[in-house]
Amino acid sequence: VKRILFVDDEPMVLRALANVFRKHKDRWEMIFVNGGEAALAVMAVAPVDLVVTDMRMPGMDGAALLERVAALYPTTKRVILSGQTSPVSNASERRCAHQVLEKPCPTDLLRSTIEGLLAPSAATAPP
Amino acid sequence: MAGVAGIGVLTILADWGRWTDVALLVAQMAVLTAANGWITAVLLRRIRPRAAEWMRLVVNLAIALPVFHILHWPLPVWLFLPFSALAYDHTNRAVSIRGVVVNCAALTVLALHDGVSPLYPAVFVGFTAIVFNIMRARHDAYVELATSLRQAQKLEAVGRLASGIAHEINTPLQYTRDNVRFLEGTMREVLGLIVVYQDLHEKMVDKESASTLVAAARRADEAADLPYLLEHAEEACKDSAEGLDRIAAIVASMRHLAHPQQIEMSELDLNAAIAQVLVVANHEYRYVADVETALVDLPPVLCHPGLISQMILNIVVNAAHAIADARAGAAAADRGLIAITSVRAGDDVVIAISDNGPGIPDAICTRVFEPFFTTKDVGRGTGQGLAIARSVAEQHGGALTFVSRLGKGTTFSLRLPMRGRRPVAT
Repeated sequence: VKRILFVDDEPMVLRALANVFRKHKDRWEMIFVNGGEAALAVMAVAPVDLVVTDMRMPGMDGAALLERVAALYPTTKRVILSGQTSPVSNASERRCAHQVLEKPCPTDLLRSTIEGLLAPSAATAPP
Repeated sequence: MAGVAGIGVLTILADWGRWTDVALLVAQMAVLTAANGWITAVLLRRIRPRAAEWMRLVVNLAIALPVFHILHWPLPVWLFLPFSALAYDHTNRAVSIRGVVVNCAALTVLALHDGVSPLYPAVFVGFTAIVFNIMRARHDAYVELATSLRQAQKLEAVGRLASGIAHEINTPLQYTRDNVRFLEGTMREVLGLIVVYQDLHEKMVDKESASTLVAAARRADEAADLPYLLEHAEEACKDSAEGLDRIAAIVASMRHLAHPQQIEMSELDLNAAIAQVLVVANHEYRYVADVETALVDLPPVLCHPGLISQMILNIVVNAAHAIADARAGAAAADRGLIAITSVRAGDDVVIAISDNGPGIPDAICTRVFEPFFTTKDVGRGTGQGLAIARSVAEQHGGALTFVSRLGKGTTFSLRLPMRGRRPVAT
């Protein structure tokens, strides 16, 4: 079972993701938190395999969170799911994430992205 | 300033040796320069520009005429006078012809009364007319430029907001679509379950076939994950409906703001316009500031709704940017405040938009309304917003003023006559 952490300041986004991925419950342990600080708190207790985070959030934003995650948990895969579309932010986003997805992101694309990153062949850490 | 210094030097040379006269003229010039500076730097922000201009004219004449009378009109004063009449930097509005005529007439009458040769006032009036015409031409060119810029600025404002509005719409789209997909996926299973239940219900009488159907029903029940649906389906519908409401509200507000400019004025509910501006500007302030509104009941205001809404939008976005810049790197809990109030003042309404940002430094207070003046980075603003906001306010027979305290914040006040005024042709 893979642990996947979803981070977004909009509870409705998190609820919808929980709904749409409920059939994957046996393969994915999904945790939903509303901000960067809460995400780091969850990871401090037990690391996760993949983080999907929003970009713009009050307090610690997505980029800051992913920088911390990259430093603290280098094996954790990092995905941005953001509503921002400005090219400037995209450049900095790409540096800290394995994958950048734009809201609204089709369910299947988000699912296949997560699966692709969690597949053993996608491992970035050397064996 | 170079002009003042030049005329000062000329005065000293011309009156060489008559040191009392020189001292008096230099003192007068210093007082006039200080008074003009104060009016353009301080007063112009507080009162309407036209009133400030007349006050400047009166002050100039009141200080200049007695001194010239005492000094018997030495030659350099005739050089100084056009400067005093016209040097007020009118890049964004025409020099009042009435002001120039009053100035010339007052000087000429007093000079002739004091026995000065008619040649001097004649040359002075001619020179003033030439300078006046040059400035008028410059103003006309400015107006032409400003007209085309206004359209560009409107596009800029829309463009600047577009990415933020995309974000506003993208987020509800994300969860609304996810929820609809979720409900769509469950629908087949739930309907299948209902069909099995129906079958079961009908076959209840026949015990044997019922027992196989009960097993089928249990399988369908498990597939549909009924407890999960009972818990989450209604919420998913509610969230989706709310998401669609959010999208609809943003689109409606945008439509108001981007409304094609009508020639005729129409009645605008200013409080509703403020609410719409706050919807559209939401992404600009949401992460950095809270907004408090204290709006009194206002009668409909006759105005150009699109222009007024855009002006309010500009000021709110500026306030949000000021707070965001001041708070970059600050803790999330340390939020700024944007306060918007509306009050009635006689036949006018006054909308005040305050922020508790860093305030505007004194050094640039005089330049805030200057076209092309901006402290923002390239791409974030071209310095057109407030220049145009002020001209829109004046077109409506109103005024846009501000007070700012360094470290405390800035308040912009928009005063508009409720019954409106036809815009002057610009």
